[in-house]
Amino acid sequence: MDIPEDDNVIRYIEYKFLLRDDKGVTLGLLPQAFELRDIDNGKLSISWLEYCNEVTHQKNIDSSVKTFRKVINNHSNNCGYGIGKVKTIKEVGSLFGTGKINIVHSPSKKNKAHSSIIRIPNNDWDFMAALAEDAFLELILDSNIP
Amino acid sequence: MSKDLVSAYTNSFHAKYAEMQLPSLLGSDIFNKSINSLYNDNLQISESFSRTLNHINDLKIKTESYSLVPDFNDVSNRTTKEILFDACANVKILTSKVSMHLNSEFRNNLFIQIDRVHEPKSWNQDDEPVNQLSFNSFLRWYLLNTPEQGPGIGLSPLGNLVAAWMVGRDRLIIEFLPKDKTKWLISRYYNDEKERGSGQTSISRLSAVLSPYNVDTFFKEKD
Repeated sequence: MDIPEDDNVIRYIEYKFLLRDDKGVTLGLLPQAFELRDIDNGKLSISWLEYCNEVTHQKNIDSSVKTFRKVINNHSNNCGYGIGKVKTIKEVGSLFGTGKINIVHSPSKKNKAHSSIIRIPNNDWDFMAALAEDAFLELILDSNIP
Repeated sequence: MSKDLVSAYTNSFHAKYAEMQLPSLLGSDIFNKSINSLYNDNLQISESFSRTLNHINDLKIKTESYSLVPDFNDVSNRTTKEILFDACANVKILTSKVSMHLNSEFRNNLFIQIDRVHEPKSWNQDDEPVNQLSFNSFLRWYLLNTPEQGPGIGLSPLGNLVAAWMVGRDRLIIEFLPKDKTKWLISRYYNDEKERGSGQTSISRLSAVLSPYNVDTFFKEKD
């Protein structure tokens, strides 16, 4: 099932993929946060924010983060989360024409909101940078979520 | 161009010019022959420059002849914590070989950042710890360019060291690959319009490739 274009998705970002200054202050996301690994099977793992069905955007974030804390092995509160609007992600993807990317709901046992970005260019450096800079525009630090 | 630079190296009056152009020749046969001829002719280059050249060359020779990278296939007797500790220790040992050329604040900060990205509590088992050959490329680039402003350090899933600078909305990201190779990405705003460039090149060519983007603004020490 395709996720509505006005909805948002959230991606878990390990500490080492956060763009920081030399003092450790987080400033953004590194392109490497969107690098596919062999185990990813060509899909970027995300979570559908509005699936949580809370009353506000912030509460959807809080709920999603709580799920991530439960399902991610070795979760630590030095990580972050990138949030992007589905429509924006698709628009960014359309600039890197190896086929139309899509964002689909792909629930897992542990995370019913789990979703995937599919048909993405395989580790295209520019595409990864565009996702980091132009698509996942909202950055949340785990330490800021109760 | 290269021949001109070789001449510069073999001419003591132009040794300073040669120092300035060093990055563009690093690692090439021309570079190695020129350095040897400098030594053979006993030309007058500064002592500090001579020491730096020796250490940079030494860094390359040492890591080409043997590697301190742990054998990640041999995980039978080592915990994740041990593997990560070894990876961090190896790059610190490598850094110690050239520590006399590094600002102590930069070195300490680098070590802190390396430790933080290898935090065992948050380590993803599918990722690789820092690759020593990638770190070596970073060190060699750093010694040749000595930016005043140190980078934020990250890692790619394959363990390549990622160095990042951000000034306002502008950002420069360099992923250091083994054998003096790099991937680079720069985003700059001109008249509120973003311009992005990216590519792959060697550490010796990186300064020249990035020069149209006026990257000095990233490397100047922040107030």
